[in-house]
Amino acid sequence: MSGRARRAWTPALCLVAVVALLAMPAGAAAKNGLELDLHLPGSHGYEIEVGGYDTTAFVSASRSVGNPRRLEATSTYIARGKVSATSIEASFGSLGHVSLRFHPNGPVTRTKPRRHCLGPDRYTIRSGVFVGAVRFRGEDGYTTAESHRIAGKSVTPPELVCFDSIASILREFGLQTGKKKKHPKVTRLRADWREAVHATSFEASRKADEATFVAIHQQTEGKLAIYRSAYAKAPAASLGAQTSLSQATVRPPAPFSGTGLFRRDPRGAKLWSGPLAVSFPGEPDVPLTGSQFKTQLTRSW
Amino acid sequence: MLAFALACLLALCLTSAPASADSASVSASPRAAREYWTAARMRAAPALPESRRRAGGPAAGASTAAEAIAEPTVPGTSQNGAVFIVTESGLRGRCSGTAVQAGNRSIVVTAGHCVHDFGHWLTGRWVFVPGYRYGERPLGTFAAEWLGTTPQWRKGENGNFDVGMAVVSRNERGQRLSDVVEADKIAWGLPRRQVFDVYGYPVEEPFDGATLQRCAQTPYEGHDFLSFLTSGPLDLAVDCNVTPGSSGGGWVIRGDTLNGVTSSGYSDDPKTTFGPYFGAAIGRLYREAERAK
Repeated sequence: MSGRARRAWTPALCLVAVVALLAMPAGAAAKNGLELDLHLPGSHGYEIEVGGYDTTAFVSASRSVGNPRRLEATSTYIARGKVSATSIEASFGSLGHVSLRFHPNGPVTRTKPRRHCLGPDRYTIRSGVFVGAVRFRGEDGYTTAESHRIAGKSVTPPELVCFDSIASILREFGLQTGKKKKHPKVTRLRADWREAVHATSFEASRKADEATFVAIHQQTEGKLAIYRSAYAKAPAASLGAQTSLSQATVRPPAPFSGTGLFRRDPRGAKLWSGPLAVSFPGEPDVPLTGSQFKTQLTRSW
Repeated sequence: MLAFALACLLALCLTSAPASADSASVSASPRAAREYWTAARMRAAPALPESRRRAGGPAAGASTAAEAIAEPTVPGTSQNGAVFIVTESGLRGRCSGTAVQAGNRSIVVTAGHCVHDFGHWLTGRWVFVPGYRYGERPLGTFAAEWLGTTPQWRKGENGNFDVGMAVVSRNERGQRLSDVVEADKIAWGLPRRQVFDVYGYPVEEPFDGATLQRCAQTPYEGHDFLSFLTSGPLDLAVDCNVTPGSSGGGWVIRGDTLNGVTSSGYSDDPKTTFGPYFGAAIGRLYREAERAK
């Protein structure tokens, strides 16, 4: 058996694009492989994103906090559909459906050409409005969204493959340029659990005077795949670890709750316990500790 | 300088470009391939070199643990076999496969990555050994004369289409494959909710590749998350703890009909195995294999 690692990279890039695009302002142009990307407001302060590529369509619900706004948690629902730069058609089962078609109503603009491209060398952007229907209701109604007209842009192609500089070529092949930066010491605690078509990951890392926390849960339910993520930052003390790395405690802020305790006994066995949990949109209080998790506590040097 | 770098890049793209067809003929002699695979080489062959490593150790709490088939040469199990491969870079590897009924009596179904991997056809000394056990080849060795896969696997390694087929030559005794094994039927386009017998020759712990293993009567239990991110029919998950080496092993329904193959799994969940759904693309590949000889 093989293949999983290799087949993962292309969609993983797209998923990274999805996550990255969540942080983009409304009305941002599609790129990074997404053929279509639209934003609209949801109820209870959520931002709803609709998009996709090829036969993969998604609806995302994101919750941001603070000032300036910082992304706190997202749930992305992925289904089979038909997606192009000018239309999207997909059903998300009991959560809703999306059926939109683009109607241009503004000028066509072209971006500045890039050099040394494989294929197109610029984006063509058409302003207009997507007409049809978006109906979405998150689990137990944590947010709802409905719209029949969404102002947006049709951007083609979904991405450019260009090599403007030697640095970009080296980057493409995973080779870095420039002087090596001196990295600060990072303490990292990671816990992963995968079973059948569910997977949960938690990572806490402490660098200088700040600790960051990330939780991801992915699952499939029939014809729907769901990807949930949550983020938090806190003072460094919220991840405490002994110098010997035999014990660590995490106390992340919302959307996390509770504490997690990592202990390594003298024989090397790892224990990961405590009431640590995370609340994703539509999936509150997901436990993040227990013997089912595989854990790692490391420190860079 | 940039022009030079671009030239290098182009050269790299060209040298690693996949072949343009979805099948390849094997030019090497079947006899040479059969003779290359000595018992010692077969016993020592690992799972394909690029295989992901599973965590190892028995699957705690697995509800469908694989069990060894004591007699892999009897009708009903002898259609399952081990596949031995030499990669483009000269490394040895192995997969699993199943003989299926066909007009040419010579088709083996396996995983796409067991016939075409990283842009290259695995035409080097590809052999199928039905009923393989402890380095022995009780029913002979069948060398590939033709390899094929789906266009989606060949062009983009889309895991939803990770199926390959081989048309094999006669064995060293001059027998066709379906003359010595009771080949399975093959079916595509069926409902996803099936109960499978999953066969294969897992190499990595807790197995050793020496014997045929079977997860009996394991039902469909959903789709892999990653399957949603590429085009094509969603794949299938089953509860079965096989490890690398079992790639291409048959998923059999109703005791005699091939309706899936093992494609992949995750190293942090040894209990679950994934395989592509057998849809129309698999039917097209099968018909192409039937015409190949």
